[in-house]
Amino acid sequence: MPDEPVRIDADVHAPRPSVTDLTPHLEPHWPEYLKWTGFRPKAGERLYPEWTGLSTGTASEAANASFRATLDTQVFDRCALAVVSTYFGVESVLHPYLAPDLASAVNRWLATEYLDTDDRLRGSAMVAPQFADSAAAEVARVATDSRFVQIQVPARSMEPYGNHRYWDLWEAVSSHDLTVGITYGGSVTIPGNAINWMDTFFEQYSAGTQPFATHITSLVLNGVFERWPNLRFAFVDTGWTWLPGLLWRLDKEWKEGRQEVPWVRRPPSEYVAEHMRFTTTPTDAPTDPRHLQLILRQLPCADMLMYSSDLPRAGGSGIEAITAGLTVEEQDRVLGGNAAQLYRLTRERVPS
Amino acid sequence: MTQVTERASAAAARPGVGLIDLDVHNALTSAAELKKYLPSRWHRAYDEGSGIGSARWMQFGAARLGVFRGDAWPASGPPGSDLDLMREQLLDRYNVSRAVLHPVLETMSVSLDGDVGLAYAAAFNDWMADRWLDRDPRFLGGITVPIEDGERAAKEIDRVAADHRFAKIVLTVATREPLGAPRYWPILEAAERNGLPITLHVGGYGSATPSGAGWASFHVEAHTNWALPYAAQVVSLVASGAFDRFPNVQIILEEGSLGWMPALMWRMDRAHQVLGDRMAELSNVPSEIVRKHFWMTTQPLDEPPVRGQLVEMFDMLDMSDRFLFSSDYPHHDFDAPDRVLPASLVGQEFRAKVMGGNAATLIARALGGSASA
Repeated sequence: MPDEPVRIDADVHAPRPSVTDLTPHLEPHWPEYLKWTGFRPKAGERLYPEWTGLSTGTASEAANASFRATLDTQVFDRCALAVVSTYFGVESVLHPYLAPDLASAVNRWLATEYLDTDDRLRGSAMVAPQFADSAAAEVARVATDSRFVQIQVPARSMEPYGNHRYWDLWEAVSSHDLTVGITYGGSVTIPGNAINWMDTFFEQYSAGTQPFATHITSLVLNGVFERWPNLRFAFVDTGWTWLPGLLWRLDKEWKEGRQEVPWVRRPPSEYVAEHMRFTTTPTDAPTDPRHLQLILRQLPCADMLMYSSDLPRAGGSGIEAITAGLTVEEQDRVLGGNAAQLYRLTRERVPS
Repeated sequence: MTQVTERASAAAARPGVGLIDLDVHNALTSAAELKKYLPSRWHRAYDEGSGIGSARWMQFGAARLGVFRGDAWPASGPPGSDLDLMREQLLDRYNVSRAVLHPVLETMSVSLDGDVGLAYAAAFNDWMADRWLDRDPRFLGGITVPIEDGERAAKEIDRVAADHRFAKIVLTVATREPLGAPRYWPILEAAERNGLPITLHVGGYGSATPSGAGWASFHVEAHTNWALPYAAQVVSLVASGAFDRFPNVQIILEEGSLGWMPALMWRMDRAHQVLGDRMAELSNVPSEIVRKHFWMTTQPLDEPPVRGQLVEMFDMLDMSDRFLFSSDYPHHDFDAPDRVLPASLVGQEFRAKVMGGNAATLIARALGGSASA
């Protein structure tokens, strides 16, 4: 692809592997244990319950084939590369040896099932962030496979991601110059909103941006980006129109309270502009398309967004509503340039 | 005193409603002051304190000088405890026509349920009437209730609401369960029965976690996160069908900031649309439920890098009849009425509505009540 600007889909979702799929990738004692305990990836199954029509489903020969066909017709018809992830809910596993091993097995499965079979896919490797030392070891392992461009953690977590309990993990990600992807949802022992457990999918989903906002505030105010200037975060599958409102408040709070966090040397929105990117699907869009263009201009810089299809879901408004008001150069960045920069997908790494 | 009363009458007599401040904090001069209003059987419990082992003893670092304005400390007692200083620094200085008071820091530090919770709430309400509302007609009161005890809260609302100088019911936003839960229905029902709005104010130690993902390390971080419980309560109240059950209930989101609301409305609307008949039926589109039942106070006002973006946000919200001025006196992030939302930015009509017109509609009952008191 000599002159064409690169097009990248920053977020497609492979079906969830079954326990059987993972068996070849686990130490021999685990399959027996999983069978004995009747283990099922419940958190994975409940992220988007089947009834919502938004579930990615469980892997099978047919499901994998169907996903590949969808990629051909709805992703690679326009994009040269796509970042593929799956979800297993490893953050919900309290067992300190099982959770990291499950994460590693899922990553091995993703490599075998998808990265080995399609050179247009780049991998998002999951880790169990609740065990940061083990997660750091998994980062070092997947970093030897250059097809993995992202380390994936769920939005729901026991502490905000700027907290020191995660610093071993960020150290590893930084030293291998990878990107962290924070993805929608997750299952942990505290609720994912600022009050308490909620009953319905609608509530859980509507409040689903709260962990993301919490992490942005925490990462910046803990000085994570002063400590690791190359650390980068993708905010995946969470929408982005809520970002300006958060940053208006965060900048204001920093102005009033920055004596408490002297290591934060600049307004928080500047760190966000330099270190964070957001996928375009879903977009929680206003009914008036002019308002969407205003929100775009309220973002802290013109490079905040990365095109994503979110396949096999397509929950958001079309990308056209976003690109309509952008210059051609800005469009190129949203449709691929920003992702290429974030994921270090230099031209040599794009298959022709 | 005479001079103050004359000024208050002059403000009330002016055409229009004058400046109404929805969020002002009075305070006890000392803990002993509340005991005058608290039956003696509860004094020992009050002295011992409550909430041992609760999250209220966590340390988040500290804001400068606590949460107060440096110049708001009277000769004795905490900021907000000296009526004359409050008149000088707020009512007289800015010609405030009505200020709605609530001692939120004190009320969230006592038991929030049971007979003892009810006794504290009643003591605060009687103290409010006696020490504040009786002494200056420009003061209106917020009703304290035992938040986590719906039946007793409703009982106290019914008792106090007979005094029309009480203009709202105050809940701290961080309740133990989301507000759509049935345990809070008696409060919604009593609010509706008495024609009083419910305010959600910053504070409370009830919630399981005060953010979307655990506890903050710093005060500045925790303070930023205070927008989140408001959004969660909106989601819960909308989803629960509470407004079908209590169609006249009005909720004030007080000190919650505003910038998070547009995207939340769009997200709820999208979820509602995508899920369609696969989710429990709502009587209306979520954003329309918000626009019919929620009000938002202005402080802390969002500060976009380009000031015009604030106006863009107001346009997107399309709730210009539902914004209410608040100063948060005597807290350090006080917004001065003569500087916030200048007409040059938001227009004269919008400013007039926010600074008093909208509030006059919402708390009409209290305005009539205080004029005749």
